Amino acid sequence: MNNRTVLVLLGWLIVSLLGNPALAQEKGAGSINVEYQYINNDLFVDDVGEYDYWSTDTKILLFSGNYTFADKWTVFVALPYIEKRFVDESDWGGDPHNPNDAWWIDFVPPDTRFVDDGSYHGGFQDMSVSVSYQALDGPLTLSPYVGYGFPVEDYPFYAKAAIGANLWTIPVGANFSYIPYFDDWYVSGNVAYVFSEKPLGVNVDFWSVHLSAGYWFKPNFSVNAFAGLRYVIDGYEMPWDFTDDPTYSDYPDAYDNEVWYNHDRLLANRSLNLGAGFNYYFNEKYSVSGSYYKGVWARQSSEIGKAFTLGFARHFGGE
Amino acid sequence: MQSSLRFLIVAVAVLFSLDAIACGDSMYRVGKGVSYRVYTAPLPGSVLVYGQSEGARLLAEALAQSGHGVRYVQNEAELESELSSGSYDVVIASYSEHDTVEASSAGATYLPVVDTNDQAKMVEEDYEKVMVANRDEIKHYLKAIHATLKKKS
Repeated sequence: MNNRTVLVLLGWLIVSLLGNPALAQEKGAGSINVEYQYINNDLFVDDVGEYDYWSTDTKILLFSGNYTFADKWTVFVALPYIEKRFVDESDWGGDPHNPNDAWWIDFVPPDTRFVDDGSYHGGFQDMSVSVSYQALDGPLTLSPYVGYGFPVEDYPFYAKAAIGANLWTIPVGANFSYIPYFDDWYVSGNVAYVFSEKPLGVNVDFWSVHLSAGYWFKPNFSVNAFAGLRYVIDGYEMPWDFTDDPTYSDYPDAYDNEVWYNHDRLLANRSLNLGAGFNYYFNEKYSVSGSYYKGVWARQSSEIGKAFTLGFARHFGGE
Repeated sequence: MQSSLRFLIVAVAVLFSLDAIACGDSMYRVGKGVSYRVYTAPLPGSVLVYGQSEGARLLAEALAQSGHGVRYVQNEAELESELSSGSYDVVIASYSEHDTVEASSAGATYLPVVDTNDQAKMVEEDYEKVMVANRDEIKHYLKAIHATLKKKS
């Protein structure tokens, strides 16, 4: 039994032992969730312009669960399995991330695994564990939380088809919502400051903000619109932190260094996504949710062309 | 149990910000986890519901689930007996029973239920709130009860 199998079985074991069937999220309540996501990343946007030479397709199977282990205290666990492929849309071919191509890169990086061959490559990405405390319970709810995310595999990060940056993170934030007592609309959100591992000593901490507004057409059916912002405060910016030439004509000579090898982890990723979704409960135990979203703004980041999700949840009740 | 039903309506599970970064792929993140819409009574009160229909029974159940203390009665003798106890904040009964209710609902606020909007217009001047069967949902009853309790408190 390999590590992946152990992790999956462990995760399912933990969330499968939680509580008795019911609805409310009180002590002993929780849910287990499986969600499929598809994401197409398109334009890369730096400080100078937009580059439409490459794109990526990402397929994700996200396993997650939450459990209220004491009144007001809830633990969350998530582990995504990600498959991703590189799509060459240039008319001159190639991918500057090929660690074995001497034309593109003329130093020997520590990790020479090549995944930008057009095929899907996958692996478990970063496991996340968070604990939240419900500080306010009323029309206005507030639940501060702290979490920890860490790579469960040593996956390559020098690639367009890399499944992640291979960095640990510690999000510190709060969930909040406002739900009028006798109306069917709501607003909710999440704001977090995410402390990140510092590759080459560079600060890539970021703000993460998610805002949502929704409406219940029926008690078991709601729709929502949402916005998600990620904003790396510092980080490196292309091209200026790598070259003085905004046309990158000095590539690859000027990039024969560790900074370029780590550039995917160093960039000041900033992006704003907008989307809409729904939630439908078949009954108190089972629900389905879905969403569609796309990127509307990006800097030092690849903008999401289109993305959708489809998730199923099994809910458990408390005392 | 009631506290458990309160305002965990939106359990937005967005604690995780998952990233698939390669040359800065945009963050992916999902707004999800919206739960059942469960209405709750911020000011729980004692409510007497009178009626013989399935709708009256379901109304009594829904009010109880929202947090109110509810007594449901189906015949006039029980209604009179409960009203004479004087222990209810709100009485919900058909307008056709208004004579019985008003004769003995000491201290309780009467929320009459009529069948149509036209009937509601005819009697609304006499009551603070008139409920319309087949139109008003549970949230409307809760809102009316809440307004009554707030005024009394």
